[in-house]
Amino acid sequence: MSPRPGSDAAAWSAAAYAWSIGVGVGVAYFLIRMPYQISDDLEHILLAQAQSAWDILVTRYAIVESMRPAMWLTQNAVFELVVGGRYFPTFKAVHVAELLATLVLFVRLLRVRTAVDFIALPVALLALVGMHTFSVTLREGYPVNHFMTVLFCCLVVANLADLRPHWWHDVVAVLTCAYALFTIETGVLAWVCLATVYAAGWRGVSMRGVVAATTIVLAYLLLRFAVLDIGTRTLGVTSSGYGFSVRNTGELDALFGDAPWKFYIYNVVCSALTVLFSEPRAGVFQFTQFVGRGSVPPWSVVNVVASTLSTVLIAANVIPRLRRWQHWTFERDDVLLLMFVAVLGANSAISYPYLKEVVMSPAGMFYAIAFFIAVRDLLYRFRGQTSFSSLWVALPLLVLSTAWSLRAVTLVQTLRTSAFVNRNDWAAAEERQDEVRPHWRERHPDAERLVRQLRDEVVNMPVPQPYTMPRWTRAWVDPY
Amino acid sequence: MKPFALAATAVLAAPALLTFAAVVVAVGALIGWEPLWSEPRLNLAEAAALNDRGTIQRLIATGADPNAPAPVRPPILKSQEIVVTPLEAAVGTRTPTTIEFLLARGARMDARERAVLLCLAMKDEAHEIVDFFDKEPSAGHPDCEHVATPW
Repeated sequence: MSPRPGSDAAAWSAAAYAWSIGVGVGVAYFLIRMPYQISDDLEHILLAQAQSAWDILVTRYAIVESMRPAMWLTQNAVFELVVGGRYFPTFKAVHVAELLATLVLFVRLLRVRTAVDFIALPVALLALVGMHTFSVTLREGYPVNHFMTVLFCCLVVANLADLRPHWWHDVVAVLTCAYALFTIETGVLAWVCLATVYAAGWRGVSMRGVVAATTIVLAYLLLRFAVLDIGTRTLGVTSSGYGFSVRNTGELDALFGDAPWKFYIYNVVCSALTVLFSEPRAGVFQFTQFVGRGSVPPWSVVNVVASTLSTVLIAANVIPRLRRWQHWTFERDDVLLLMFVAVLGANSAISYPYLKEVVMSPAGMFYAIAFFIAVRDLLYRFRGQTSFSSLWVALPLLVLSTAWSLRAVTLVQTLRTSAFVNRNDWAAAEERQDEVRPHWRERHPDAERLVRQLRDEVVNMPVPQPYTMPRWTRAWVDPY
Repeated sequence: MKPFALAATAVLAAPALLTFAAVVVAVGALIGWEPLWSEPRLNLAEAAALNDRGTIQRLIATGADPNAPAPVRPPILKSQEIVVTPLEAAVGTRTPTTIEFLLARGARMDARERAVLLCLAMKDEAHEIVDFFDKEPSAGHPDCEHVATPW
């Protein structure tokens, strides 16, 4: 649907990258200022201190319900990179690099070449960072942000497949799929991206590369489920949202103990719905509940309106393409939309045991790509119009862009709030460790000094006081 | 204005404004101007009233006395300034977390202070704090009619 780009394509493309860096730098500022959460983060740093890379690999390549050797090795590698005891700056540098690289690769995939492409870009970038699945992803840090790693890996693979064929694309794509897969379970989505775009005709990664990546996925599944019998989380292992509240393991067991598959279907469906409509949230039908009570906070309206309008726009863009898809004919945008559909499906399926918004972040990212295509195509239709009768379309566009902007502001506020909460938790780091892991001091002779150093570093970081936030703004900021 | 220009403005206006603001914030930080990431200077009592354990930890580490009364500015606890100890201020959080945190860092709670805290908690219906004190049932409940409380 895109018209042929003109001679100024390079300028628009450069402007698009510059814009994404602008957004990235803005988000990175708040990210750098926010202390990491203490849970997982501190424990993983202490493990990296106490164990060599080999010891970590041998003892933690597979633990209960997870097989994430690349995650442990990456954390250890970054820990070893630290110079002069600057732990948090080093981990933050990795985090910011991942964020910026993700945004740049996201823009590259959109292939901005015209003024119209460029006009559609900012709102798509805000849809990416304003999506609730991204907000929770950005705040994570174990202390390396592995959910962000998965987003990055998906984009690396998709971008490689979008290039002209070359042998090194195969090598990098296969290694990226393997790294993502062995980092965290949702890493399998990198392979889903690769397989989808290959099936749809992108040949930047050859058949050999796709077969190699597929073999690795099969080997992973065999190793995990047949050889090591690690399995996955099942009903009753963790609390999860259901209906109008979060249910603890006992409640879930009572509800679904004799038919867990019903709960799994609920989770798969809700995972897809939360990306498409921002409702339910982590399995809880929050907006519906607010409506039932007769009191809907503005932030909830903004979330649901932004997502629903965007989904309608995407659906209106996809439906006319379906006939072409039935004949297995795909234009470039079709491939991107197919990738969104495939990732949404696979991501939702992976989420079957319990609902956690961070897990759905890859689908959220590809949703923003689909949204870009829908907005851009609508603008192209507008370009030829001279009749003012079509002005009615401008109003929903204004609502959409304002709503996504508000959601992006929410991201900033959640980082500010998390900063305060995280610093509070770090202030009691030693007490917390004593309570959770009583023998932590015995792991390494320097463990106590390291914890105190990290704690002091965090408590000396200034963070915004929640009480200084004007009360009226609270109604507009998603607290979740 | 042509329809396309109107639609383009509708799509671009808010995101452009926000992105510009984001860049300004990031650049401002380079020259020390951080309007969205500033922290007010608090004393220990104010930090306790706001459940700000990070500031409590920092102030105590730099020599602040966890037992010294200090003025708490309005509207942190009340609509007027009041002078309270950090432990008394912590009752305003309605949870015992900050009280425990302060006690672990040198705050003293003698019988008089305990009575003041408990009476404040009962007056404010801070049930979690009352339950926290009830964990030591031998101490009992004071006669709050005869206990002077800061509010």
